Amino acid sequence: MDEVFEPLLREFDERRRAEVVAAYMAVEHAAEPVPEVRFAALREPAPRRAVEEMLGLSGRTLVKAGRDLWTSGFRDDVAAELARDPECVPPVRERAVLALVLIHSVAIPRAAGLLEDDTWVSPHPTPLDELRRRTRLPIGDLEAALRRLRMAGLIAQVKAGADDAGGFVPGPQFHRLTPDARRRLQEELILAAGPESPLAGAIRARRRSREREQREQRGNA
Amino acid sequence: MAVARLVREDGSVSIDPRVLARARARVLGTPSVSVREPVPAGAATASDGERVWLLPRWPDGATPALLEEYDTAPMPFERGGQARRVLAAALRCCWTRPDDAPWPGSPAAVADVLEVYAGMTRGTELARRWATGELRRLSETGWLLLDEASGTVRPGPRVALWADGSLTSLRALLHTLPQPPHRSSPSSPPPENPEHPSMNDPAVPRGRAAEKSAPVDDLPPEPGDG
Repeated sequence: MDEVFEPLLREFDERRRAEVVAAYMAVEHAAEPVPEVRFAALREPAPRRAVEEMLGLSGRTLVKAGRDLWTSGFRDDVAAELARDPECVPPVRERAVLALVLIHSVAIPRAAGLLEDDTWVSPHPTPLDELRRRTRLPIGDLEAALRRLRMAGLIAQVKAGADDAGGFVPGPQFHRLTPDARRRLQEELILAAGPESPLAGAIRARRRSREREQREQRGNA
Repeated sequence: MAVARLVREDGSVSIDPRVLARARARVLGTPSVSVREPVPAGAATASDGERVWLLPRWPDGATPALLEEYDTAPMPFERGGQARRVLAAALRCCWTRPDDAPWPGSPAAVADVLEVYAGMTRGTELARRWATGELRRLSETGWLLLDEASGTVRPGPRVALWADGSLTSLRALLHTLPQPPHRSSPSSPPPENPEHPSMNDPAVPRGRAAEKSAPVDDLPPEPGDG
């Protein structure tokens, strides 16, 4: 059954091969990024390249998620292609609820200096009441959207603590964004939150010039 | 997502269609096509004769259960204990020929599954409602196939990933569960040589078969339970 993986694993002896397979399974199936101290194949260039190539067979890539931490995610070009397939895109209500969680749990704390710049993981929960008020979705629809987002690992529920009411934070899938995907998400939030801001203007200008470049490249090809 | 609109700009890259097909299958979970349609080359599949489901494919017979050896937590499945009990009740009703593989199994009435579940848990009306929700969740994740219109349920394609070796303890466990109504006991079937044509991927996702080797009612509560 391993004809797809075999060419990539063939070069390793038995022990190395098992390490590569373990690292592949770990970055693909662990809830959180895994430390390279526990997975030998992630520490050295040759086996790590093999893991990367195995991921590439299904359009995925290694994502560095902090010092000595690794996970996997979709390659940017593959994510772009999948996003064009309506079947692969979550329904609008789920996207709306997710956007609200990102605004409350990430964008607002980041603007207040409570969260570092390049992360989409946050300890600041968005309260259910806030979601109910802002989405104006019937409670049944909101709960169904929250259930599916939780199941997909896109949000996680935080139980009420001593000084907060609990709620929802971005889920473990946000570790899996590539650097480019994190940047695009950041830009989208700026465009949504302050469309008239100078920063939003700069983002639009940069995108226009990139589009122009691509058109010209295609024209020359 | 918002990302989708943005990314459309760099559509000039071409991607190997096999790679894209595998990526798409991963996004969709366990998508299915008609048996008459082609499936991507090298894909692991489970078929019930009418449809073919695409299943995840792992190297060297590894399964996500491997993570346990490395003290690494898999993706959480909320209320996993309850979900496993409902899955066990469904298998009790759908896996009517225990010498065969559980996939594809046969359809059973949802009412029967809820009856078995109630017998396992001394269930109240509320427990039944929860169990109905679990059936939906198990169906959305490919562990069961739920047909709400006809009120029936059958094993899901992920069940075909269970390795032969893990089925013995599961058979023994299911035998201890309450019997489904309107059906005679499936005990002591004639011995035969079991063949599992659809078990083309010897894998037990997330160690569920191992978990099932404990009595279902004695499963430790999971972090997400409640």
